[in-house]
Amino acid sequence: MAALALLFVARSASAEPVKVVAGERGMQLVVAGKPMMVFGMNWDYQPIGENYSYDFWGKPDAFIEEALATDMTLLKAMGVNTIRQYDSIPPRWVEWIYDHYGIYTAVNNLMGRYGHAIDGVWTANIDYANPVHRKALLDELEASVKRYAGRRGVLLWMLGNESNYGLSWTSFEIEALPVEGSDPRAVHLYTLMNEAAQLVHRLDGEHPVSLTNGDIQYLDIIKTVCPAIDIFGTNVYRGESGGDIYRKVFEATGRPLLYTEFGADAFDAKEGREDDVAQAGYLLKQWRDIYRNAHGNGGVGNAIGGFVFQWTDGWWKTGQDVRLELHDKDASWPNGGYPHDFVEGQNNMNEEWFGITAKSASDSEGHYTVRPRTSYHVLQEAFALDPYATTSEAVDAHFDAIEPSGLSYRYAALRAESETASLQRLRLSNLRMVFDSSVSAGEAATGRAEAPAFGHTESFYVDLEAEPAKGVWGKLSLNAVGSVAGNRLDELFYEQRALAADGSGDVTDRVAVYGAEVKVEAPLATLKGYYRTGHTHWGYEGDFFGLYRETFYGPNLDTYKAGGPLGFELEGKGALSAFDVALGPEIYWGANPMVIGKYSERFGELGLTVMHQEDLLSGGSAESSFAAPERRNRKSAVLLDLPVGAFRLQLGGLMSGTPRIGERFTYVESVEGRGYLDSGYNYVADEVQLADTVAGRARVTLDAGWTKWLLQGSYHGLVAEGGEDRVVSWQRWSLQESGRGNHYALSSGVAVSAGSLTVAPKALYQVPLVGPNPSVDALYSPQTGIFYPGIAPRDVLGSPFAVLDNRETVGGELLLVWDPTPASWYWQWDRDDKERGPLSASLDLVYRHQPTSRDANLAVLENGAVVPFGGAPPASDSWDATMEVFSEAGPVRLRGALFAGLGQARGDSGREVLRKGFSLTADWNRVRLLTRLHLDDWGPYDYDRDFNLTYPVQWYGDLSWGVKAARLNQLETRLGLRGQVRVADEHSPGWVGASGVSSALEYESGVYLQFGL
Amino acid sequence: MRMDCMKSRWGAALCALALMSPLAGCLEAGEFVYGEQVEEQPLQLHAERVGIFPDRSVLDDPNNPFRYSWPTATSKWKIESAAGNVVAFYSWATVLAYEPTGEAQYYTALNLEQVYKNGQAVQEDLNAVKELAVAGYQSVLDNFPDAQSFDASGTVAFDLVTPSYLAIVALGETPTGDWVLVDSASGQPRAVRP
Repeated sequence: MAALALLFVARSASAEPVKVVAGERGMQLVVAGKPMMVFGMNWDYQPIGENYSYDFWGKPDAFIEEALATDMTLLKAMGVNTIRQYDSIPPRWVEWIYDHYGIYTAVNNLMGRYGHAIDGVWTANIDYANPVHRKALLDELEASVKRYAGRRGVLLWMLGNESNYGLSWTSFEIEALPVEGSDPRAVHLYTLMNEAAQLVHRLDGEHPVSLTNGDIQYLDIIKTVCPAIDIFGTNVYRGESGGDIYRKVFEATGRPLLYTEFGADAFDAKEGREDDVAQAGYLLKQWRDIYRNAHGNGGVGNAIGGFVFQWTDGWWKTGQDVRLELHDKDASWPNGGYPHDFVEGQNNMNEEWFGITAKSASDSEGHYTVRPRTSYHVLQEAFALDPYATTSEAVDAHFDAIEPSGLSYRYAALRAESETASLQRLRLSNLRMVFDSSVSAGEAATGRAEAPAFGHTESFYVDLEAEPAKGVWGKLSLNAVGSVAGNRLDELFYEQRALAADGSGDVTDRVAVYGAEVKVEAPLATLKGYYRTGHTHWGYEGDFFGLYRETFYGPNLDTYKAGGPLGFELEGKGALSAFDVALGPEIYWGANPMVIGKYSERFGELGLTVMHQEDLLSGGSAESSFAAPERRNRKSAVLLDLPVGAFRLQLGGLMSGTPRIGERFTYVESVEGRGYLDSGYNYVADEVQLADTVAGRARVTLDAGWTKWLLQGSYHGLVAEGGEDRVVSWQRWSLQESGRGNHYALSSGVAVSAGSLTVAPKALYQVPLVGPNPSVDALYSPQTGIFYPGIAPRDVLGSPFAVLDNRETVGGELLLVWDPTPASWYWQWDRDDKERGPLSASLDLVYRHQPTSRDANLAVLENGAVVPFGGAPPASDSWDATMEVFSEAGPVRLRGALFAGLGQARGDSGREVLRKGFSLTADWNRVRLLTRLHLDDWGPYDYDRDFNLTYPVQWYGDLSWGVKAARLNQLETRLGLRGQVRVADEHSPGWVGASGVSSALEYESGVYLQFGL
Repeated sequence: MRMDCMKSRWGAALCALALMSPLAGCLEAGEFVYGEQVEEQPLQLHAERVGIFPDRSVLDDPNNPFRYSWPTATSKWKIESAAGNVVAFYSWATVLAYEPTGEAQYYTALNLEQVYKNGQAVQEDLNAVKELAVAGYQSVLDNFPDAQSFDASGTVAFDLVTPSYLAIVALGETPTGDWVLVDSASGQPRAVRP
């Protein structure tokens, strides 16, 4: 060992200088003159249902203090002396924790590991070689170090988080550990870390700087280019021992070793059950390893402690943004270092189960309690031994005397209190009870009774979840109905499904299956089943033509009592990971029974996706024109996907509609002269041919940081129909090319960002190959007995194709987005909850020049019949303007929107509608106000838009109080008042009119109580 | 590729790209549509419920001269008054498929009744034609209970459920669905559902 040497000396006056000291017997971290082993913990506070975006430090002080009181007391009792925190912890709380509990904080700057704002533009993948990126990261580190300067309780600085793994992982989720690589980018990463360490030393002479490496990957590079680092900090998951890690680190760098993460999960992936005793066994052996290799204990002598991963379970780790309420049991990566549940070819690391405490559900204030697992008690006993006042024999004897199974009774008792063993297999959840009463009336001309009518609705929802075997999970959602109100202004709602079909108003079908999900994990595939439950599309996984559609329909599924979607997905794993299959009677709303298969694989940089869809029958449901039935079809698609630098090239081909080959269709050609039946057209009949089933699409995108550009060109044969393009390329443009056949199109959009402002114009040029048919009446001559067929707009049921959203369009869109919080993507699906900051907003202006008309849409009649409209409205331009605003200031959150637009109905009415309005949702602690006002707008239902039914005024207001602050997609208990006022006229549904009356009023007011458990 | 339908040079360029496909070989042009003589032929039933709402199989019947184009407001009455019962049946059944109304259903049933009475169907289908006529009238009662039609002047309305009810009885069957016949104020019978 080297002679006594001070490797690091305090340079400024500070309450507690911290330094690394090396001597003959090893290395120690010395704090205020005393050696201190780091008994550390990766600590966070994230209630169940929250994820990485939860802003704990943004809560009121009283909330934070109460949460800290629970956890820090337990940590202190355990013997923990340091927590690891990212540098989002306000410095005053570092001091508070230290002052009240004597626990230090290791402050960790991420150095762009999960992205960083570069010149105001969020950049997910940092280029460590880019001087602009490097400067941005170092500038931010400098600001951070200055914030914590001189603060009590700071122990040391940490840089990054497994940043070397980020060079090879494809997402921010944990993946299989990469093998030692030779990524040339590693040199740039570690030179940056060296510069960062030098910067910290320059600004803060009191605290050492540690890496937070992924194991000891790139140790040779670190040795050469990263000499400024004081401590080799590393996240290590090698099982019960670090093996030769201490020696290798010491020989390469001469630095002490600090585990910045290590531990074991508490779930046995092989047996499919919680196993806290096994977890405790690993942690005990890992700490024995540290003690043996600490100063003076006979080992290498450079172990200075570690931060156990982690304090409590992270329920958000799998998927990160979804299923946050579920304690996911999926293992996401394999690791043979944990042999008790390792099976070759399978994953065994359960990311959501690494806590040494288990977490309870939150109370009404948002606090939760923790139940210490056996690991807590084992480590509490282990830490009782002073690592620097002992011998190697004493270390062995101490650790030999700690028996995890002997301490397991404490956690077992706690677990038995919270749930019995049998309830782990079957449990009730998401119980929701709704009680709603209202009174409504209207002036006679509305068709509504003038005398007030009262109505009540009682509705109950509950989920039954079961895990009958390992890897098998199912959920059944039930709805039961008491009364069903018959006086509602908004006359379609889910509970009506319980009413008798004879229109008597009797409740006959009280109980129904509201939805269902099932998931089965097998070695080579995951099977998912769904009924009236949403699933995502495959647009980001190679489905270039949108064959497999997303099924998040919001309230429409309930409003129209849809019986779908219903189907299954098979996701290949392991050797079959390139394959996916979806099949079922209705895999998206309105779909025919079908099966879709996908093969998607990358060959080097080139991605190849091949898909085939086969409709097995005709027979989609017809509850709403939002989901019109389709004719039986067959589709095959191929995609080549190639990134070239900052560009991405995608080239796709589609063959679709081959069952239509040979079908007759008609079209018209303009002629000089009278034409057929004096229409000015020739009338032509033709047949679908093979060439009409072919489509091609090419897309080029460029991501140059502050500028992003998209160019797309498509050709679709007459019947070459794909689906909707749901891929959001950086911005959620409204102007999209049709997925139907019978058109060619060119579109281009660019997004230019300057700080928080993004300007994103887009243009679309789309033309049908065969235009819409006009309406020309048929003619019969009684004298000659000759019938001259009329010309009518086509419809998708009666014709092989139709001109609808693929009508001729020259469109322009200007999208402006103001988003000062780039870390939360403005277009995220749950932005109502996630979008933070004093102000985020967008303005979307769209203009469509539509010089020609279209063919006929379909309508779903009250009796379920699907019929085409007899015609189509004339050609007409349309425009839409929408502004959305999000604001959070203290306890008040606002979400609002303003809109205006000119458009046509979906049916055959030629009356244009100039609509405008606004909506506002305001939350103040537990109080929510929701209001919306629509002027001259369609009613809320599909048939309103189909048949051009409008109201001059529609207003809705809702004021409610909840036991917790309102959250998106979370069960709530709320008591509320609601009111609704509509002004109807001759264009409104149900209008009966009266002499001299041009408009009339109808209203509804109600009170509701919703319990959520 | 319908080059004659392309309107722009851009379109032509993309068409050229598609034409490179070996699948875009010999595309035959369409044929002009002209008027055709509609002749009365014996009725051959194409499907079990042809002409009964919501059945639309008449649109697939190769014997239906109107399957590609439904007779519109004026021509359907001309056909009703001047063409034979089989042609009139096809006309009204086609109208019913495109625009389901009680009027279309009634006249579909009426012409089926006439086809039956005049023996204008193939022998083996005659009984089925009668049953279809009854089903058609019943469909008026079941699906279009408020249906009305107008006389030749277009101003005098008359309900269609009463003649439908009476027609079913005249064909020797009993209407279903709780319909009864009562005397109206004018002394004329009227079908109502209590």
